[in-house]
Amino acid sequence: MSKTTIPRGGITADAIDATLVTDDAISDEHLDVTAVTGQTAITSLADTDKFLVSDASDSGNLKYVEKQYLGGGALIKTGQTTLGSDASTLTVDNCFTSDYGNYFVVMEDMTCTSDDQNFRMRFRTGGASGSTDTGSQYRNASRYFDDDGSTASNTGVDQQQFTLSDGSEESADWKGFNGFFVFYQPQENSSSRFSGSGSFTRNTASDEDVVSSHNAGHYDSNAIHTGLHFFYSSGNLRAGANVIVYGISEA
Amino acid sequence: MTESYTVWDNLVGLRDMTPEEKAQREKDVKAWNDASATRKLTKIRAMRLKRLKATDYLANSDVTMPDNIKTWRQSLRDIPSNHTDEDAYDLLLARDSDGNLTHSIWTQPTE
Repeated sequence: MSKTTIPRGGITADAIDATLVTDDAISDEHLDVTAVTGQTAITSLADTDKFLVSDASDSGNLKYVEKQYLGGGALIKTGQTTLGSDASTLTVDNCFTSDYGNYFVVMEDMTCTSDDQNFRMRFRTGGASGSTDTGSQYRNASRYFDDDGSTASNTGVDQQQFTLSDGSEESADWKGFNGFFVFYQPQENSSSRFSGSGSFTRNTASDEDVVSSHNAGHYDSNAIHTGLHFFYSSGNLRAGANVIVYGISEA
Repeated sequence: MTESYTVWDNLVGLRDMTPEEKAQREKDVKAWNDASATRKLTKIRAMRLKRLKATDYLANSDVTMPDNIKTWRQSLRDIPSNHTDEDAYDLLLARDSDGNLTHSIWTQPTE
């Protein structure tokens, strides 16, 4: 017997189940769009969260796949600071955690408000309410190659900071240090090291030189580092300076 | 030079330094300023070395170094002992509007 109308309340909850519906009887045009948009949104995914898929290797039958089996980006942003106005220092806190072992850091337009200053970096400890590590445990080796062919370097052990570049050019038009570093196990107690490359504009007596910079550094003592701290030897960082930290996924 | 004593971080944005951070900043800047003469002397030494290297070939056994070059090279070597304060370093590092060094000690005598 067929019915053409069903009175309100005529179908009780869960009264229609799979045994009562012919296979493939409900096509996509009958799905309410709120089947997706009506659900509660989440902002992070667990490895076992599930996505509906049409299995191409099994006649397009519906199946699910878990988040842990989805391909994903290898770089996951863990912190970013962009200066909205000039400031003495730029800090990125809580960007190194136990979630990732190694990190990729991009530094953009780290320009000083003064000429002839050194660009420096320190680690932070303590997570979200961090403090700057000023121990004399920093050693660094930075080598420079100028566009006029000259070379220079900044090296040191038992320093209170890493020295990344020198001879800053204060003009905002020339931009300051731009570069990328990889930090190795900064959140491990026994190791904090980085290496990477960049470029900057060196203020010289007669003009400006574009300089290729190759940097490496090591922190000599045990410490769990959770963030980064950038500053010039004197003067401020200009608005627009930007540091982005990404955790490198090994999945 | 203006120091703003401010921090821009990823959690609260722009903020004033804590007393401890300000003290560290003042210590850093003072150390930098105190080392000004040392940095200038380092730069002078590098400039001197470049000129000495450029004329080292004149000391080869098959070449005779002119006396005026010998005198000039000795004056370069004597820079640290004859120029001993920051004012003297500033004179050695002074340049004209074209960026050329103005102190006569940097000019190599004609052979």
